[in-house]
Amino acid sequence: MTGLALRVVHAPIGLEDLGPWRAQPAAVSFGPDAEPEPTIFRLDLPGGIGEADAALDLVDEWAGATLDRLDTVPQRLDATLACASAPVSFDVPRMPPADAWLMSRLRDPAAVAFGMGDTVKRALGAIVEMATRLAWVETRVDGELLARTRLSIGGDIDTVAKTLITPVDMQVHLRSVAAARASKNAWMRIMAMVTNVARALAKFWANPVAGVMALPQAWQYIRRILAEAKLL
Amino acid sequence: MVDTLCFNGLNARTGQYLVPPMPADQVARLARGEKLDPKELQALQRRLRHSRNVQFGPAEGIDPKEIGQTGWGVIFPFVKPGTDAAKRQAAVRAALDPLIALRRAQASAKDPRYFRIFDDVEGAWRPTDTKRKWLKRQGAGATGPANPEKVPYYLMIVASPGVVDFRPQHLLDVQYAVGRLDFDTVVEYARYAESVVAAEKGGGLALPRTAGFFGARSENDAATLLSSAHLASPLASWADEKWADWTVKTGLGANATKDTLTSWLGAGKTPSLLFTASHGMGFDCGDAKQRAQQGALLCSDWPGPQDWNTEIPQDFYLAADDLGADARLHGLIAFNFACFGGGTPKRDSFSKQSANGPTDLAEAPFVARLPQRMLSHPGGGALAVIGHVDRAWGYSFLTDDGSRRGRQTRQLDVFQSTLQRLVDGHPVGSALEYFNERYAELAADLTDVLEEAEYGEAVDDWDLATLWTEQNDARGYAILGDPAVRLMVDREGAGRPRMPLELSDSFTAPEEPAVPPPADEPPTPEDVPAAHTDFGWFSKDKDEAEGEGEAEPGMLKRFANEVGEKLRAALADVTSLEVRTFVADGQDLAEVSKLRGDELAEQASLKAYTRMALDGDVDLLVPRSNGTLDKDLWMAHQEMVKQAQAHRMELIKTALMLIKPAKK
Repeated sequence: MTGLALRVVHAPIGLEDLGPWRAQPAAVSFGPDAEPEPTIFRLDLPGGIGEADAALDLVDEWAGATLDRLDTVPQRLDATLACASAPVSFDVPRMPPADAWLMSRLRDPAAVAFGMGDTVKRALGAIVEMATRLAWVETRVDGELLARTRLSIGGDIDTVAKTLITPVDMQVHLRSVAAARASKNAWMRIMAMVTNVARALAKFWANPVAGVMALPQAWQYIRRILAEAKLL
Repeated sequence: MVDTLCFNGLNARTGQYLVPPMPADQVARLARGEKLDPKELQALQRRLRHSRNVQFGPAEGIDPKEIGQTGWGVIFPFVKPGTDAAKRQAAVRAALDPLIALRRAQASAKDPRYFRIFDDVEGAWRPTDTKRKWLKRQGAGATGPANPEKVPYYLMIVASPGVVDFRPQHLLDVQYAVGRLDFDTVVEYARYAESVVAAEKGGGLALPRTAGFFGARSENDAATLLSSAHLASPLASWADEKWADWTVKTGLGANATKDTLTSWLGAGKTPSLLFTASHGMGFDCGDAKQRAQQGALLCSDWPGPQDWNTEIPQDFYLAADDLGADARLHGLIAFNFACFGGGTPKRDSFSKQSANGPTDLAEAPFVARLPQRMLSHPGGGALAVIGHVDRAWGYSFLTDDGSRRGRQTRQLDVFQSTLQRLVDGHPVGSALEYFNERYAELAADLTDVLEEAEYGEAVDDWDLATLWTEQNDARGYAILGDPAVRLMVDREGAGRPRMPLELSDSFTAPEEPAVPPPADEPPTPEDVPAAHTDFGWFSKDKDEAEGEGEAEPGMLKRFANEVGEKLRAALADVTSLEVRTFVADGQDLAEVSKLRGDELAEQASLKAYTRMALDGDVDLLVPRSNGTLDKDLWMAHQEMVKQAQAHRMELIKTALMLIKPAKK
C-alpha cells in the first residue's frame, strides 16, 4: 500500500507536493456569504481496512520528521547569518546544501531576484491555507464513508460516525484524524518558520527592498531544508 | 580688577561679538542656576571614577581600534509607517547601504550582536527618549563601560538634531563613541557613504601623512589672540616635534587667511588631518543666512573689532558655498574649534537667566552647513568633522592656575591626546573620548561646587564661572560623520595623493521626497506603538493601517499580518474547547456529517460531548448503550478530546513563535 490512499481534496492551489498526501485541487468559488470549502483529508482504502496502517504510518513519519527538521532551522539560520557576516574564505564550504544556498544569497544580494513571482505567491498562500483552513477528515473503505470529522482551526472537533461503527473501524478513523492533525500542525509550523526566517533575512539585508526579497528566499530555504530529508 | 571671560564667535551682521566678554560674577550667576539631572550626574561621576582606574572607552579588554571587538550600530529615529518621513528615511537608509554593509562585515565578524541597526520599534529613537530610556530599552545599563553585546560602542545617529537633539548625543557620548549624520538631501548621504567605503575598502586611501594647523588672529580680538597663541600655534609646534614622520604645515596669525584655508582644501594641498581655531560666524535667530553660514570659519582677513564694526563680508570667512567642485576633501578628518562650527542648538544657554527668560539661538537646532558640505562633497567627502555645537569658549584650552585670579596656563592635554589618538590610528570616536572624559570630570566638579554654594559655603565667582564655562565647552564637542572612521594615511610609505571621486549628483532609488520633513515636526509620542507592541502580527487595526497604497517593501509584513489574522481569528475564542461525537445512519451519513452547529445536532444523534472551559469547568455527556456506558465510543471520544487539546496547544505555540521567534 502506498500513499495513494491519502488524498487532500480541495487542496489549495500552489503546492505541488504535500508530503505523503496526494493533492487533488478543486476549483473553489466563494459566494458573498459562503464559508470557504474545507480541506478534506481523505483516507480511501479500496482494498479494505487492512491497508490503513501502512498508509497512516507514512503520514506519522512525515509529520514527525518535518517538525524535527524545522526545529533545527533557527540554529542553522543563525549560523549561516553569522558566516555570511564574516570575511569571505575561499575554501570549500562545509555546510548543508540549503545553508550553502542561503549563504550565496546573503553574500550576494544582487543575485536575489526582486519581487515575488506568481508561483511563490501561490505557494505561500497555499501554505497558509493548509495550515489554517477548516479541515474535514474522512475515512472510507471500499468507497463507503465510515466517519467524518470536522476539525476547526481553533481545535473544536465534531465527529459523525456510522451507527454501529465497529471498534476497529473507529480506531482507523481515529488514526486518520491524528494523521490529518499532525499534517496541519506541520504546515502551521512551516508557515511560522517561513515568516520568521523572512523577518531575519529582511533584518540582515537591512534595506528598503528587503521586505520583497526576504519572503521568497525564506520559503526556498525552508523548502530546501525539508528536501534534504526528502520531505518535500 | 575686573575679571572677564572671552568667547569665540562673531555676529556677521553687526560685526560684534556674539557674546560680549562677560564679567565673571555674571557668568557665575548663570552657573548657580545650573541644574543637572541627578541620574545624569551619577552617570558622569561613575564615568569619572571608571576613567581614573582604567583606560576609558569600551569595556576592559576591548580594543577601541578593532570594530570587530567594539561593535558598530546605527540609530534611526522612529518614524510613523506610511508617512513622508518614513519614505524619506527608507531612502536615506538605502543611500547609506554601502557604509552599513561595510560596517556590518567589520563589526559582526566575531559576533553578530556587535552589529546593530536600531530602527525598529524598540531600537529607534523615540521623540520622548532620553539616554537612559533608550539604553534601558536596549537592555544596556545607563552607566559603566560600553558592552557591545548590548549596545555597540560606535554609534552613528542618522537624524537631524530637531528629531534627536544634541543633548542625548552628548550624554550617550560619555559612555559610547557617537557620531551624527544629518544632511538636507538623500544624495548627500549617498555621497558620504560612498566616500567612506572608497576610503576604506579594497585599495582604499593611503594618504600622505600631513597635518595642517590653522589659527586665525585679528588685532585687538582677545579670543583669537588667545586661540592663536595658546591653542593652534603650540599644538602645531607640539605636533611638528612629536610626529617626526609627519609633515606639519601651519597657517597662523596673519597667514591664516581665507585664501590659505581655501587652498588647503584644494588640489594637492589638503592635509589628512586639519585643525582650525577661529571665530565661528553667528547670525540672529531667523536671519536668512543663518542656516547656510552659521559656524562658518572667520579668518585673519577680519581686521578686528576696532577696525571693523559693521557687517562682516564673506570675503573674511570660509562658508560651505566656498567649497567648489574643485575642492579635494576625500579622507580628511577636520577638527574645527569655533563657535557653532558643528551646529547650533535651539536654546541659548547664556540667556536662560536674563530678565526676558530663555531666548532662541535658532528656530530649530541644526548641523552647520560647512561640515555638511565637507562630508558630502561630490569629489569625495571628508570622513569626519569634529565641531562645537554651541558657543566654544576661550577657556577651553586655558585653565586657572590657582595662583591668582585670571592668571591661566595652557591646557592642551585633551587636544593633544585626541590628536595623538587620531594619528595613532584610532577611530575618531575613540580619539574624542578625552573630551568626553573632560566633560564628565567638569560636570562632577561643578556639581560639587554648586552643592557647596547651596549649603552656604562661600564659593568664588571666578572659580564657579570658569568651571561652568569649561563644562559647557567640553560638552559641546561632537562628531559629524561615522565615529568609526579613522585617518587613512600610509603609515610606512610616502602615501598616494587623493584622486577625485566622481560621486553622483543624484540618488534616485528609492524616490526621494521633494521636501525633507521639517525638523520641528518630529513624530509625536502617540505615533509610537506601545513598548510591548506585537508589530501588527495580531492587530487588526495595524493591518488596516497598512493600507493598500503601501509599496512592495510591506509585502513581508502583509504576509505576516495575514498569517497573524488567521491565527488571531482562531484564538479569538480560546476560552473553551468543544468536542462532539455523533452517529448517523449509514445512508444519511455523507450528507448529515456536512452539517454544523445546531443543524448537525438535530439531524444526528449526539452520543458524547465534552466542553472544557478555561476556568477548569468541564461539561460531559457520556455515551450509554442499554443503560450502561458505551466504552468503545467513550474511548474514541476521549481520543478526539486529546486530539483537540493537542491541536489547540500547537496553535498557541505557533502564535508564540510568531510573536517571539525561537532563540538559538
